[in-house]
Amino acid sequence: MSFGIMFPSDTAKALARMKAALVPHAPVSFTFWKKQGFWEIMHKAAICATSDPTLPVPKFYHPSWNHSETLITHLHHAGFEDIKITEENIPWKVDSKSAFVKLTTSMPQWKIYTKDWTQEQKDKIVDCALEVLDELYPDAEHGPIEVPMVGFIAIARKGS
Amino acid sequence: MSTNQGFRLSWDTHSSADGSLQSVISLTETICTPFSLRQFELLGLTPPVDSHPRVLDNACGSGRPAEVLREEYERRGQPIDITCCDISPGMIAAVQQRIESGNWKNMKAHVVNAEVWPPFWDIL
Repeated sequence: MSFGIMFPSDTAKALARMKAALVPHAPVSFTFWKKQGFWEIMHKAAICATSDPTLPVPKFYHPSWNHSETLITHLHHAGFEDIKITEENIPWKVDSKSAFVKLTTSMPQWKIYTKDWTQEQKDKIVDCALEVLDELYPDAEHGPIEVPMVGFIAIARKGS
Repeated sequence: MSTNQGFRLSWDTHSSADGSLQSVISLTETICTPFSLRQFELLGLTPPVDSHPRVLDNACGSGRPAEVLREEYERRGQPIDITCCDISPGMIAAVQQRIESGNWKNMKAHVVNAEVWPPFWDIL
């Protein structure tokens, strides 16, 4: 099983190596994201902090990985059989809005995304993010929030 | 170097430089583990099962999903062997720490680039 199939630079090669590692008829499973709600929230906050409406959504793998067909095609080419994909919606439960901001801004991806920002823009991000969260979760106050996270789970099988 | 490779390398570089690896681990575990548990169900790995599964968790992160699976088999007294692989040395160090502190004999961890790794029988 794997939760990182969107990251190899050569997917075909990675799948071929994984397939070679399996015994005949072994089941395989891959998980990848359709929607990462926290990046959508932080994108809105980033536009607020930078006053730049053209800022792209943070993305750290090829956009085609937001579609189930991408993996189906790769798995077919790699020779896997009985391919089935389900869409799963399992929200990320965070203790509070401020915990959300603290966690997301500590991620390496966020540091890469903001590496060219001015100090002033970086200083504004917490207030901007809290503002966005207040709009999205007006009743949460200091309580927990649920951030939408939608993933695809693919199940397949190595042939004989 | 591709964009993906650049990101994968910087995952460790960024988090080891400022000590944020622990928050990365905590964040990814909270978000990803529920999806992995669902993955186990769909794979038919959730016990009881009639076999002795040998599981390869590739891109295992800090190993929390594998730990949950291992615990469930242990609780039911059923055998399972799990090999955890990830390209990130920081994540594999976290898995190794779990293995050592729990003295788990049926779980192994390796730093592996999925595109160039050796055959499975060499890893096991």
